[in-house]
Amino acid sequence: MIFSILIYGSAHNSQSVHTAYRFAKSLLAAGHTLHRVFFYGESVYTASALCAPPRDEQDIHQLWKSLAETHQLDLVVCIAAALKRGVIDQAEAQRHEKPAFNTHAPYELSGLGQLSEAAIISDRLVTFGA
Amino acid sequence: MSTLHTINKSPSDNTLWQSCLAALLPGDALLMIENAAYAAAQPSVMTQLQEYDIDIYLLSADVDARGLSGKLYTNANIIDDQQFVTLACQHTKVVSWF
Amino acid sequence: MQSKSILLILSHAPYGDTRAKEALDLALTAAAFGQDVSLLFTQDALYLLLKSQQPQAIEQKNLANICSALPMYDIDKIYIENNTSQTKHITAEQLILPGVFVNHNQIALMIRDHDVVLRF
Repeated sequence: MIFSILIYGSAHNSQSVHTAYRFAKSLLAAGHTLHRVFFYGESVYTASALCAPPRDEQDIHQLWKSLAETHQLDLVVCIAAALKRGVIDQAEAQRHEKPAFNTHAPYELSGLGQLSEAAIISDRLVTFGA
Repeated sequence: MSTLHTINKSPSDNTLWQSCLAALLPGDALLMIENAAYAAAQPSVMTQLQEYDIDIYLLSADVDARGLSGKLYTNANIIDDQQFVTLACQHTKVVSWF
Repeated sequence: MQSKSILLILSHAPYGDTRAKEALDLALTAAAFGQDVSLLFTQDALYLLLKSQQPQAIEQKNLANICSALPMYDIDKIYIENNTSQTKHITAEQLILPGVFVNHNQIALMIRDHDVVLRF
């Protein structure tokens, strides 16, 4: 079965990004396809490579990155939600003349159309909310 | 044609719970995740849920994390993450209440 | 590309947080992608449809204007939770957009009958 995941909960102020991660791992382990993970709203902070949690806490940015690299996942971060919150990749930093960037592959900034497409393609779209 | 509903807030969020409960149809399933696991430790909520012709589930990780395993008043099914995926496949869609 | 019926349930008021705005953005994009979008206004989201919103002084975009433009984006299936409008003493005349008033049973059936249901 083809799944997509929409994450809307806060990256650092809710459990949802972690619950979504466990769900993603489980569906992949069961042999299903994960077409896309779409980060929207406050979840876009997951994509910041500059998050440095304490050593005894999980690094959610790294967890998703590793899972994506292992399974060639499509991690799409809503570009509008990300840019206004200061989550920005190299290309957008140049375009907007910003002094630095903080996200890169496998996280990819793109539009809400990617979520619409995922809703069409997938048998199940599962939301993990705020 | 049935729906897996997930809810992630404790019953203290009364408005959310009432909206979710009003949307349940016979044959649907309700999975209480994250802080919604606390609902299973509240007799009044679980009694209310018995009025619906639905299956009720909890995630073991959320139950254990919150120290609730000895406090459950319910016949809710406690499932693991793999079974969450199975439930999502068994129902035609997943609706999330948050 | 194939089309799916999408029910977007809004439950949050405008301005206090970004939830309503981000849900509307999603609705407009889905419609632009040719999806069959229905919008259901529940709970505090009904305040999105109130006439005479003037958010300039709080430095925000007028979300009522976005709502009134929904039919231009081919979103003309607008539903309003009946119970909410009664509780909030809001009548159809006070709304910027006409909608079909629905009760809880009808909402449950709408959720059952759409391919994808997202609640914000």
